[in-house]
Amino acid sequence: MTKAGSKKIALIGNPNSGKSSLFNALTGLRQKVGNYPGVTVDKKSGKFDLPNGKKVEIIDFPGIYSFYPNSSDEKIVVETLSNPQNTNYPDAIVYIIDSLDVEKHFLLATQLRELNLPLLVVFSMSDLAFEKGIKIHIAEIETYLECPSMSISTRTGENLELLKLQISELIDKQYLGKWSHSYALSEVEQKVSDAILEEHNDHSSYSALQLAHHAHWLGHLNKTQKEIIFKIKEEAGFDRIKYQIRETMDRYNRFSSVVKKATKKISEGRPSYTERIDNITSHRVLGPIIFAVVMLLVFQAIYAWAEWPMTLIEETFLGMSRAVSSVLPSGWFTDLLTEGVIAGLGGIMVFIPQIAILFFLISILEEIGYMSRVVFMFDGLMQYFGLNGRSIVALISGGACAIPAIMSARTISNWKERMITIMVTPLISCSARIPVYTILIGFVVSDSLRWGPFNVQGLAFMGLYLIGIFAALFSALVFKWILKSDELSVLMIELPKYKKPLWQNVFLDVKEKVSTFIIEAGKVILVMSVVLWFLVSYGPTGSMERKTQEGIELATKFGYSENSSERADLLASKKMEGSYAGIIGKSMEPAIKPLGYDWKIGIALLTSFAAREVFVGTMATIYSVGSSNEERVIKERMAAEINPDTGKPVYTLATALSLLLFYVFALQCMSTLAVTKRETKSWKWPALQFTFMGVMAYLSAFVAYQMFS
Amino acid sequence: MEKKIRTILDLKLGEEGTVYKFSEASLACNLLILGVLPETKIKLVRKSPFGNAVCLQLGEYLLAVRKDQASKIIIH
Repeated sequence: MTKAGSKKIALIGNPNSGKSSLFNALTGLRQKVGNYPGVTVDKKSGKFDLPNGKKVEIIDFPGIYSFYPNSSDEKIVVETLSNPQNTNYPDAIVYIIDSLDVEKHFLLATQLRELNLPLLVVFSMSDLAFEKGIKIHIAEIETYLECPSMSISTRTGENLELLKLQISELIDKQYLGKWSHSYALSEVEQKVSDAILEEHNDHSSYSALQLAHHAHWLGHLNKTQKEIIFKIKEEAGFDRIKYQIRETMDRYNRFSSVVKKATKKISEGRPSYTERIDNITSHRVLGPIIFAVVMLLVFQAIYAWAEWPMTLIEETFLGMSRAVSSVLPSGWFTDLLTEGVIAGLGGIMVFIPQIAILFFLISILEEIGYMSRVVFMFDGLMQYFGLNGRSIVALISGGACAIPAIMSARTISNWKERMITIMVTPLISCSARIPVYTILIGFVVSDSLRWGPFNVQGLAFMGLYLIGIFAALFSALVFKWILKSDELSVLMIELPKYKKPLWQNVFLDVKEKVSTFIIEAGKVILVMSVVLWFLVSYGPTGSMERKTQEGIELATKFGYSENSSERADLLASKKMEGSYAGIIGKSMEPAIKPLGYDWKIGIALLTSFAAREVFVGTMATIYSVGSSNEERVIKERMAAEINPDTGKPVYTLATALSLLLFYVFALQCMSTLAVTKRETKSWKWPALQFTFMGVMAYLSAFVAYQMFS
Repeated sequence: MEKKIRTILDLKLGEEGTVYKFSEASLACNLLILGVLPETKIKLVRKSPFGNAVCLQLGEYLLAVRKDQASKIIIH
């Protein structure tokens, strides 16, 4: 089959086969993340040049063990390969096998060999195999599979050029021809396969059989096609599980002896450190302690390393905003640009350091093989809360940003466990909550207070994180009771050998996560900040003018000089009072009064829906310190704020505590809602998520305020 | 007299057993894919901290499985 444009190569392999490393080595920065049609699984693809100058596109398919997939990630491989009309249907397949574990990886190779596609079998990590004293006889593999094969190492770069040469030969080749060791179909399977081939004549007899196995979930089959297949299966008496076992066993029986002969241990090699490391890191008692320490260090690192790049980004955008307003004539357009667009962009960029650092560290832990140990160790605890061991990766990532975290839940195959993970992940305090915590925490505990060697503010900070974690676990428990599912919950996870991280993989992984944040959160934050700019800058006819007039009178009364910043700040604050935002804030007041908030805080709550950290900027404007961006100044001004009804300060311990709790629980992030909608394919889940977190926020804020006021 | 059925979970830590069969077909599918086959030698390496899962060693490779799934692996 010839197609327009560059040829497509499918890169397929088991999880931990070294597939992504090879993909990264081939494409480097020339890779992009897209979507497969109709599903939310990320499609990673990239281009590279062949030795003959031609470009090919290579698709890094999710890791998969066989043609019988479990999670939605794995299903996409079967979906694509079982439909020659699919836009991602490749022209050839490159299949990666871990040289250290050939037998387990060989099953899928024999299945792929039975598609109507050219196949190249690549043995990865040849350097590690060499160290271990393992030699693979490529010729024997080639003779058996009747397809080209070779070994490579992405770590040392061995044979990478040769691989490109092989690929260019591969895509010019047509179908390899029928395999002489192919799976011998039983009578029933043969009958089913033949009947399906009449309808789908572009399939091989094995992939026709695959349609019978997977018809109930395959997306490219329409209802009539499915019914025909169901009928064929019924008439033939086709039992899916029985024939899956038969096929798998038959394949193993055929290839086992071949593989054993082709992979020889020629020397003793270096002993593995994995077992010795695991004796400590996966130890029943030490393991969880080590994990806790690692997490503490990870989050400590975020604070230690992220501060100066964040300040730098803030200052850059502030400078840009000033530069634009000094160049352009003043007017609504300049305001839109500086206060809407540039401020919005700054609000997105400022989180990049924290997010990048957390994902950098998680990615290293993942690369060396530690994360799957964590999944193994904590599965029991997670299961108690209705989650899966794999949920822990999502929960940790939630400490940076809920968006990539929610997306990482795709690896959980059990529907119920995946939904619970998605629902509770936003309760983990993300980086956008930090600026809000920082400014409010001073009202709850004084800066100088110490408890033993600890700064009490630091402890309070940790307390807020812990509240988030406990809330997530508690909510999970509730969802576990509510959600019904009889799907079997399974955990089977390979614990790969510990190895040194490949920095290219780490770097590209961080880049991908950060771009997800910029794209997903960015577009929402940007639109919201423009909307907010409008709500703050405009009001009903006459409303803002009246308030400005009041402001001018007040300024004269206070004796502020014409050009003083006090006067400008006061006018800005009064103007906001008369704006749409001010009006909305005032109309919200009855609802939030029991929490101890006035209409000014109401505006801040409202604006926080773009992104939580907007709270700080809004506070600055409302409290007439718009011209100063210093946290200290905002804090002083907040402390001086008096409630006109009671004559007491607005920011008491009770209000600050109530606000803090509100921000711990409330889902004030439109981007998270959008991502939850996309991942669950329904508005029901984000609506539920927003509601239950909102109720928790309101109730806890209410209780805190009533108890302490 | 039929012998008492032994599963992977009856192994002591560090002890090795040989897979005989699986007591549940749908689970067998998943295990087969991961290389757990009849006549495979499996070592029980460790138990998880919360006690719900075990780590098995098959040749060079380590597999973590929950206990309720491991209990379906019957050994000789």
